Amino acid sequence: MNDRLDLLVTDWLRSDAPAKASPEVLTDALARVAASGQERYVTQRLLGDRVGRRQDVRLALVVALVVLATVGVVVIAGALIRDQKPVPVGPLSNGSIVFRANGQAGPDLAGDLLSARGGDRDLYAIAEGGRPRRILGDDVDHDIQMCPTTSADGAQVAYLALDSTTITPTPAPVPEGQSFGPNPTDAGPLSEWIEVVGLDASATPTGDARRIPVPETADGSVSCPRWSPDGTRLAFVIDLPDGTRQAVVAGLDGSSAMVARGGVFDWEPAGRRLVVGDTAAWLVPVDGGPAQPLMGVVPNAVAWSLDGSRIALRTAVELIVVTPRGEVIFRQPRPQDDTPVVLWSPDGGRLAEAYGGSLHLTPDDGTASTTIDVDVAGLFPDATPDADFTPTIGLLAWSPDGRKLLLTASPMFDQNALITVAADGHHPPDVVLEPSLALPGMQPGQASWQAVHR
Amino acid sequence: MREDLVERARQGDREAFGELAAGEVNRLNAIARLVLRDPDLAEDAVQEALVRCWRQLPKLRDVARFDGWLYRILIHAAQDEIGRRRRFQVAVQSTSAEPSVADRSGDIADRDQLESGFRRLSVHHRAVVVLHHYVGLPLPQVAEALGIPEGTAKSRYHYAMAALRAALEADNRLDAHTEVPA
Repeated sequence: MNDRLDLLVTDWLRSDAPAKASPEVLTDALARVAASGQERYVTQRLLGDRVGRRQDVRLALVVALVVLATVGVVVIAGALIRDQKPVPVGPLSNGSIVFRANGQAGPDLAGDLLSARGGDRDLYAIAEGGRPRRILGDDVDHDIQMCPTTSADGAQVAYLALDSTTITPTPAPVPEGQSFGPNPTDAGPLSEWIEVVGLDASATPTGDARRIPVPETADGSVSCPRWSPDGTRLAFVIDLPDGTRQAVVAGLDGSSAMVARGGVFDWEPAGRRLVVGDTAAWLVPVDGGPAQPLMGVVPNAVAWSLDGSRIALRTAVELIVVTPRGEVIFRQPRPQDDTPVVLWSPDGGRLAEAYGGSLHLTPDDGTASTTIDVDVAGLFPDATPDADFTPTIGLLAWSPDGRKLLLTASPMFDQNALITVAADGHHPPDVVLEPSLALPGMQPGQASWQAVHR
Repeated sequence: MREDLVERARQGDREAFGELAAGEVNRLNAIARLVLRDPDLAEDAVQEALVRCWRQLPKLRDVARFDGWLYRILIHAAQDEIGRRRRFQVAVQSTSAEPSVADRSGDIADRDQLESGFRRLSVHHRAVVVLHHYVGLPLPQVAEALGIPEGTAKSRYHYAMAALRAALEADNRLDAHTEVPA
């Protein structure tokens, strides 16, 4: 059947096929041909017909074009990225604010306090728009936790710890006509150390902890520690029995070394040197070697910009910004202040200060400062201001993303609040924590804004 | 001689292409007519195939493969003609809807049933049958000419032949039922 079918189909097709096409088919086709050109590959035009029609040659051209296009896109994108103006936003986003408060106010700071004095200090954390919670310390321990500082990556917090049982308070006399006097002085010997604790992204301790001893001091005077940029070391200042102050660098393994005489300091972003303020400003290698004089002024505060190009020296009456080689970029007068605060923004573009009841942001070239007025009394209308007390603000920290500043606001004596102010000045302040007696004597070292990865 | 014409036409020589086309047009027309079963459609397809051949000839890599390459252009042009005009589909429907009334004796009856069965096939299946049985290409060359895998060509061929066989067998059964006893 198959053979018969094959023959049948072949025979049928051959007999059914027309012998000739009509003449118009060819003439019409050739007329169209006369009016049309021929198609050639690009490679034929570039390399000639013989080479250009080869498939491997055409494929090679396609690959080359794809590679060129990819390189072009990368180059253009790179150029666009380079041309973008730096924006004041850091590589990290804002985590919780870690701060020291009076533990007598309870785990959520909701307890009533009659006085800002007394009670062990514990460490708390609060997220913007959240509620405070105690993260280190409790109601029964005898330790005082203070000076929390989070590492640059936000994964660790270091703080100063003190065994309260080793304190022997020595009351100071109450001045005539007043109801209470200065804080009691603490007498030693004191048991004091630096504790390093791991944190997760919500500022909750991970359980990892290590204790770093501090050298013996004259009266337990140890400054708040500051992390090295790489998070492997801590620097702080101690008062020695001979009356001098020394900058100390300690490793996480407990080793420490006094590197220079001085009362204020800041880390170089590269982590190899400290700028130290004493009777002059010095650049001091942390691993040994001679210190280099930076400038012959007595700074009450120093700050090294995070891009490494600027060092701010705040004397009692002046702000001076210099390069690490000591070249003055600008110097401007400032109100008298023995405990000033200067903080570089995370991008190194602006310097924040608080004086005269306002926040001041100065660009790194000293031009066109911005003043942001903070109406503390208006922010807390329910507070009852004391007759002899002027509501004030204090600078605590930049937010990790560089968009905000954390401040302490004091509408009343001994009552402090935590607020944030937008660095562009376009938004009213946000209250992070209402005024409370639980936040006594808030200084820059008593609060730290944790950075978290985006 | 023919390869020389192809090579010259590939270089853009219209006179050589005219000579080449004159030698191919009848064969192309026969193939198109067999595949499309419509003389008007077939002539349009041939004309379009010749124009495409001229335009794309510079891209032909191997002159020795000109025939297969031209068949492929023709079949594609035939498919495009059907898609553009949609006349063939109407013709197939009207034809298949009517029972054959041809003479049921001998070869004529077979041819009539072949015609009926062939029209029910798609252009793809018809092209395989025509290139194999009319042009005389082995199935591997049919596959190469149509730009399809060899297995696909064989599959289409066997499907088409089974359909034609079924058409013939149906006719035989019909003959048996209509036979009048003496």
